[in-house]
Amino acid sequence: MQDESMKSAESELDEERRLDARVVRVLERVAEVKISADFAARVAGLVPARRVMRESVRTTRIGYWVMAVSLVVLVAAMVLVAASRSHGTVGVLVEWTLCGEFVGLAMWLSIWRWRSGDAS
Amino acid sequence: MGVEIDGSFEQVVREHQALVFRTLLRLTGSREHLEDLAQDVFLRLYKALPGFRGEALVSTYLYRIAVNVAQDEWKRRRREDKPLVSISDEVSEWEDRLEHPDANAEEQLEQKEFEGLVEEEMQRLSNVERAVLVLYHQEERTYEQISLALGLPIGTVRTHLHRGRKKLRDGIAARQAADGRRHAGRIDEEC
Repeated sequence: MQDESMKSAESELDEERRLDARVVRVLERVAEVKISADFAARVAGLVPARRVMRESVRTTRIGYWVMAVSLVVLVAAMVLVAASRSHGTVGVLVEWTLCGEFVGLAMWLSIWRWRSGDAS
Repeated sequence: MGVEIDGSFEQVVREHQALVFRTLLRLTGSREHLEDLAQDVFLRLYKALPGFRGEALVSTYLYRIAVNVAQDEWKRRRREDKPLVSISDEVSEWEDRLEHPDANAEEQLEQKEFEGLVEEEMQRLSNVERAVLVLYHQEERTYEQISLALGLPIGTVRTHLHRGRKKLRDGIAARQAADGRRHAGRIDEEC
């Protein structure tokens, strides 16, 4: 009696395993699909062309105006030094220093303008 | 931070279209609107690209989107109260499904009917159970990949897999038993 019930339980288990294996085989079968040849092209056609995001650089013009004002101040200083009566070594040195600063600033300003003109 | 996918979007679609179609087919259990749904998946992918993180594979991302799209489709069907249609019923008539209609035609027919039964029972599972079964068995994804795609812990994925398979087994066994009884009753009536 006990043997019979054990056999029946075993056969039930076997049946369950068989069914499970069969189900798994069906699940593992890859579904067949038909895809139209132009599907990818059509989908790609639906999306807008990816815009190139260009990061806009905020430029301030404070430096430009400081340079311009400095140039004017330097010219005025050079004129004042040149007009003064003391033309000693110190005067010449100051005059040349101011002149050098003026040339340096003028060159810097030119390069800066050229670069910003190139970027825009 | 957005990550650009190598190559054009068309190329991405072409590389992954088969994956998306077959996953959607199994998840929705119908060929109806399949192309529209696949298109929706790729459009959602496109929209998600700026938020796409490089550490996840595109395929993992696509599985996640496909599962969401399939869930939306189920909701739509429920609203419209549409009956379930088996994948195999739509493909062809049962005579056409026989590959070699001679020697073991009966076996083939029986196998096709069994496949149809599995597909029908699949549609009775919960969305997440169905998704786990499809990703694990058909798509051969690992527990980790499924967990990543569905956003579930690995233990939960394992539980859904075993529970889903058991439900399938029980459902099929019940249907087969009912069919057997019906068949026996018909024979008795004929006698």
